[in-house]
Amino acid sequence: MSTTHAIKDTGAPAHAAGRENKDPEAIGRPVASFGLSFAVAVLATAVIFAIKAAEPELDEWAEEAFGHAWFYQAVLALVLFFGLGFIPMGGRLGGRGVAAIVIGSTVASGLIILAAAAALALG
Amino acid sequence: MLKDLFILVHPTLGVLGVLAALWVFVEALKVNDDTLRRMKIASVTVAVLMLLTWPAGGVWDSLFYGADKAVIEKGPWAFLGDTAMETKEHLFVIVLLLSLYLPIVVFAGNLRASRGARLLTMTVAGLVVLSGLAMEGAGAVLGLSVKVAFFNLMGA
Repeated sequence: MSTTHAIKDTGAPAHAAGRENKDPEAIGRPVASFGLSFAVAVLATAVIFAIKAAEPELDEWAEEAFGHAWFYQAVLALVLFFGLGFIPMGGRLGGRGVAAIVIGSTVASGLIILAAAAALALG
Repeated sequence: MLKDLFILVHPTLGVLGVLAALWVFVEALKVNDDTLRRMKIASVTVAVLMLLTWPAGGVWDSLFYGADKAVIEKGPWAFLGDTAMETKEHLFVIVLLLSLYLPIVVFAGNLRASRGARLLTMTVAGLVVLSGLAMEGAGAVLGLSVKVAFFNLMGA
């Protein structure tokens, strides 16, 4: 019987589980879950802003219903980030994978926001 | 006077948050017990500073930006100013979430053993620095848009 088989990833950091994790890419399930929830939250923020830029009536309705955009957009993103982050997911993802997802979602969201802002400014 | 001072609050808190994120990035280059302890302090500092930046910038936006916007719209930089403001308002959500994610990675990522966690820490801290600087740059464009509009109105 092999004594060098891989340690099963329980999602917990190696030190928390009281053993040495041999996988140098392992990051633990909470870090992966919140990385994925970050991506969903920032992309949702960008898409909602793009929809509001295309439909100004929706923006006016949202401001009347929920207050100023700086407040309700961030609250919505925080709810998504923490709501989805506590759901265990992405346990197989390593540090590189989550880093790529975080970079990709940040760049994509940033570009969508910039394009929507420019479209809104053009009126 | 109070309004003029209030406008300095959110960019100051934001810059301090960016510096704290840079601190995390540098400490993550080589992790040991001492650097990990400092990274935990710095990452929480980033999150707290960016959480404070959120209402500080938002309240200024709600109470005082209307007058600036009216001036900007009369100047030649109206498109740039409006784009900068809308971008800042929504891009900040990304900065805020990155800042809240950073301590999660530092505290739960087992940085001493995991090369992947160290890479992710540097990625998130680096993105806080870059997006934070982009916010500061957009703020500078916004301020210049007001200034250029005033010059234009005065016929200078």
